[in-house]
Amino acid sequence: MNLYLFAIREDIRQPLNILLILLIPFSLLFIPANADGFPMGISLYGLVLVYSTFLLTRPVVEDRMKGIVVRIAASPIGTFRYLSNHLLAYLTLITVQIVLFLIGSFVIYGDAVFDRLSIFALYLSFSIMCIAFSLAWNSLFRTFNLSFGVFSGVASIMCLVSGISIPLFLLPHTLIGYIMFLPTYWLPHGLLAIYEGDSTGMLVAHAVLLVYAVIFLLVGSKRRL
Amino acid sequence: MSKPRPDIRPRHVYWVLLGVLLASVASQVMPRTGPFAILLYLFTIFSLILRWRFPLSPTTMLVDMAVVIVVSLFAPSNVVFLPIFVFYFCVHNKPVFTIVALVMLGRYGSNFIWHLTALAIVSGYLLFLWERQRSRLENEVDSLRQHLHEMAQTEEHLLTDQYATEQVSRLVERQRIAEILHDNLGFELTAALLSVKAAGTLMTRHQFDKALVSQQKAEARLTNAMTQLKTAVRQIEPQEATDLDRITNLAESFVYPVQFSCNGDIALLPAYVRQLLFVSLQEALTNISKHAKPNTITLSLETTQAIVRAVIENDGLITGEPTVFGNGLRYMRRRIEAVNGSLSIQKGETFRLIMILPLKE
Repeated sequence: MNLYLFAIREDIRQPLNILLILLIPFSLLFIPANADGFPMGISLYGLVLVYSTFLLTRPVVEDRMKGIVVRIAASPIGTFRYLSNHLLAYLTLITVQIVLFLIGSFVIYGDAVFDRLSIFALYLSFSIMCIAFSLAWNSLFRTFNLSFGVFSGVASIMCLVSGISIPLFLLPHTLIGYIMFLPTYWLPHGLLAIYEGDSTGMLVAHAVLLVYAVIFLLVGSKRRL
Repeated sequence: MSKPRPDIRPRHVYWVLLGVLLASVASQVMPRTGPFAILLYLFTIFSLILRWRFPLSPTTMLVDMAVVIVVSLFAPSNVVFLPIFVFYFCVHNKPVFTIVALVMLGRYGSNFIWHLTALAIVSGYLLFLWERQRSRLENEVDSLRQHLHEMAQTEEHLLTDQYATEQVSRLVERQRIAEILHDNLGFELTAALLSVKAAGTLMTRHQFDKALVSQQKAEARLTNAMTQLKTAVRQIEPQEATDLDRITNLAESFVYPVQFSCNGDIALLPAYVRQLLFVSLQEALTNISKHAKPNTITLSLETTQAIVRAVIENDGLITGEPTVFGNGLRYMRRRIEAVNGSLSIQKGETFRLIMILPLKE
């Protein structure tokens, strides 16, 4: 079995992950539709993505904490291969979740949610950023529990002020100039651009999310034994 | 036990200063920011982190700076990012690379940006000087460590060679003794044996006069052999008296008065251990002359069935001087331990050095 399949199996062995991937996103679909944009559930799904990716990346953190990384460093498997296989595995699981969520949104909302391909692409960019962010975040802590404890607070605040938990049009206009520095802002920004048919806004959202992802990957991929 | 305080290194200050610069730039960009300014900001952070993560040549940063300069030509407010690149090049001592950026800053910069640039240049260059000095010192320390390591290795080799030489000299000495015994005694004893046999034969033939002459010859040969044996033993005998004399002379000629006492025979020690004992006593007395002001020094040598115990005690401890054991004492300990001996120090009202050397290996 190669590393990629092993990482997938390791993740789906945990019941909490199955619950996160399959059940929790669907509960969001029952939030009523919004008159000035996509239904709230489409934006709130960003919150689920943030937490799902964080929990899915747990094995990488545990490998470091249990000292398995030291054994891997002594084996013929390079750091690049180890990380890329694991991260791709997590992205695969998240992609499955996104596809299921979009199918669910089609069933529940029908035509109220359109241009699903663009939404899928935006969710994918956001997930890549979230996976990289989780990797970088966890590299700052020695234990997963402490990391998750601090993360849950920070992520909730980030999602709250950046338009994921509260629609963007409800936020004060002056605040937008500041929250643009948060990576989570670019999901609601991209969703709004898709709703308004603004392709430039959409591309910028993708670009910013991917640049953030690269920066977080550079920070998080540094080998710490 | 408290943790040692981590020392501040140039790279720590580098990241702190970069943080200050990035925060200053963000404060200029933030309130009226647009998506492209955010992208440029992220691009700058990406450039810096890429160079933290991978050891790229500072020259490659020119490409990143060129991107910012080209964007600034179309949107001049973006020159605010250039002080970060100026700082980077100053830290890496590449002042020429900053010329274009400085021209752009002079043309489009505001007062705030000029101050930021001045801070970037001064702090960047100071960081460079600090880093250069630090690396020079680190290199010096490394070379000293290397030197020390080489000396320790040489010492190990010398000790091994000393042991081998001692083995060889012992074999040579045995050969010399065998030659002396053969050359001096062999002839006389053979002649004496022949004379005794001849006397026996003459006695069986009842020629007692001739037998008596032959017996007298044999006696003369044996007397001669005894004399030669004594001479040979005198030649072969180790000069234990000389070794003791050397130590006595050492004690008597020392700058401070030394009360010397010796019990037992130090000649029981192997020759190279005797030499080691002498050198160690010499080193110990030299240390006393350097680091103490004694009124009384006692030096005692005691030989038991298994060991020789040497104790040097002085009452001239200089109060307030830290107890740091130098290389002399360290090497002495290693050499003594190499022959399975031991060296211990007792420091109270007096300073006492105790050496134990085994009689057998």
